[in-house]
Amino acid sequence: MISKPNSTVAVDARKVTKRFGELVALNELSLAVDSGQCVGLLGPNGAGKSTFIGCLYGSVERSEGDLRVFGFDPAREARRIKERIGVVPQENALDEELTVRENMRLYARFQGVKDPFRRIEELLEHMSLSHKRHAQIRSLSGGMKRRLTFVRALLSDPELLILDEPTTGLDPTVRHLLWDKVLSYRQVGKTVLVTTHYMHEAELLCDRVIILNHGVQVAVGSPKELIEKETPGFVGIFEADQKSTLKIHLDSNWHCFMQGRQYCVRAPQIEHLIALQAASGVMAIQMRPANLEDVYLKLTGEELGENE
Amino acid sequence: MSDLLGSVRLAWSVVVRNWVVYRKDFIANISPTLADPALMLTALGMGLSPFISSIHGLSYSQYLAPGMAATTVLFTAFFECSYGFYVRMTFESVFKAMLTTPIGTGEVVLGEFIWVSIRAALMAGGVGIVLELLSLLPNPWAVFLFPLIGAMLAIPCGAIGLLASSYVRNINQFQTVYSFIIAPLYFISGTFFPLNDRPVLGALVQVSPFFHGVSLLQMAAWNQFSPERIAYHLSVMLSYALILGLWSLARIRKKLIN
Repeated sequence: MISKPNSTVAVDARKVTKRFGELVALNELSLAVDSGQCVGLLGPNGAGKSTFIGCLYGSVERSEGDLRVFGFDPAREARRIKERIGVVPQENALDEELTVRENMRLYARFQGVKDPFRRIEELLEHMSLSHKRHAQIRSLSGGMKRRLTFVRALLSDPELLILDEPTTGLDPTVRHLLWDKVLSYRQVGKTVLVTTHYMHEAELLCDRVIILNHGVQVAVGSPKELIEKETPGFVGIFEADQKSTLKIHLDSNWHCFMQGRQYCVRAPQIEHLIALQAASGVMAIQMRPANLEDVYLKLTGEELGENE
Repeated sequence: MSDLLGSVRLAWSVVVRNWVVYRKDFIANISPTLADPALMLTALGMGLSPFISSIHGLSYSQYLAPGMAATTVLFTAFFECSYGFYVRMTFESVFKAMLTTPIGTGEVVLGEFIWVSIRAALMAGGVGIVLELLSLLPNPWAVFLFPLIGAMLAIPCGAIGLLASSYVRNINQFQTVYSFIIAPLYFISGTFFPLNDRPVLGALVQVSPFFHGVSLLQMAAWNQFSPERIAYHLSVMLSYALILGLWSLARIRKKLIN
C-alpha cells in the first residue's frame, strides 16, 4: 500500500535501491519518516545517507524500489515535493558575489515566497544575522554562512526540513544555536530528517535514528532504545597499556574493546567498574553511561577495525 | 498548463539570478563582447577596405558589418553557456542548491537559453546601433531586425556551449572546443568573405548553424530579402535550435542528476 498525498507519513521508502555502475549505494532500503518526527540518518561516509536524501527531491534517480514524499513520487513529481521541503545541503552553495539579502531574495523568488521582505528579515533576525544583511557572502565566517543556509532552507516555511550534516566543521556556539533552532522548529509540528556524524547531535535532536551501513539499514529505533538494546550499561575507559592488568579481573559477560589508544570496558552497572578499579588498582580515565556512539561503533565501526 | 506556466516562471527566476550576478561586474562582463567586434571592424574594415574594391556592390566595411553582430551573438552565447555555465555547475555548485527548490533541470536549461537570448538580442541591437551610426547598414531598418535574429541565433550557439559543458572533463578543454568548433564557425561562415563562388566550402558551410544566422543578418543589413532564402535559413537555424537545445537539455540533465 502506497500512502496518498498529504498523508501523515512524510517519507515512505520501500526497497529503494540505487546503483552507480557496479557500486550499490542503497540496497533495498525501506524506511518511513512520520510527520512531526525528527529522524536521524547515521552511518559511515559512503553508507548512502546523502544518496538517499538526493533521492527524496529528485537530484538522485533511484534505480529500483518505491519512494513517496508526502505521497508524491520524486522521480515524476519532484516539484510538488520541493515546494514543501527546505534543504540544508552539505555544501552551502551560496552566491559568494552577492550580499546576504540579494541571495535570500533570489531564493525567495525560486520558492515563490509571499511577502519575501518580511520573511527574510524575520529569519535573519531569528538566526542573528540581521546586522549582516548588506554584507557580501564572501565576507561571512563559516558559521554565518551555515546559518544563512538555514535561513535559505526555511524561507518557504517548509513542512519537511532536510539537513545533510548541518553542523560539520562549526564551532560549539554555532552548533548549539542551530540545535536550538531545529528543536524549536520541531516543536511547531514540523518534520526533520538529519544526517550527521555527531552522535551527540543525533541523541539530542532525534526521536528516532536509522543507522545505515553499505546502503543497508542495520538498526532503527529511538536513541534510548538502541542504547538499551545494543550497548546497555556503563563504559570505563582505561589506558591501553593497562589492558593485561585489567584482563584478569574482567567478567566474561562484559564487553571489552579498543578505541584508538584506549581500552574500554562496558559493564552492566557502574558499581562493576568501580569494583574493577579497586581490584586491579588501575584508575579509569573516564566512566560514563553508554551512548549512541557506542551503538554506532558496535554496528559499523568494529568492521572497519577488522579490515585494517 | 499551470505546470508549463510554472516552469516558465521558474526559468525566468533563473534569468533573474544570472542578471543579479552579471550586473555585479557589469563593465568587465560586457566589455569583451563589445570590444571584439569594434576591433575587428577597425582592423579589417578600416584597414583592409582601401585594398578591396567592393563585394557585391558593398564596401568591405559594409560587407563585414552584419558579421560583427553575428560574432557578438556567437561569443555571448557560447562563452556564457560554456565557461559561465561550467563554473556555475562545478566551482560554485549553484545548481546543488537551486535544485533543492522547485526549479528542475528543465527550468535551469530553459532559463539559460532565455538569458543568452536576451543578452544576444541586446548585444546584436547595440552593435546594430553602432553600425547604423557609422553608416554601415545599407538598410537602416536592419537595426530592428538584428535583436530578433540575434535572439534566435543565440539558441544553437548557446546549446553548443552547454553540450561542451556536459562533455569536457576540466575547464581547459573548452579551449579545444573553441579551436575546433567555434573558431571554424566564426571564420568560415561567410562572415569575412563571400562563399558563393566556392562550391566546396559553400556546400560544407550549410551544416553550420552559425552560417544561417549570419546569412539572415546579412540579408537584413544589405536589404537583399528573398522569401525562399529567408525560409531556408530561418528553418535550418530554428531546427538546429530545437535539436541542439533538446540534446543539450538531455546532457545537462544527466550531468545534474545522478
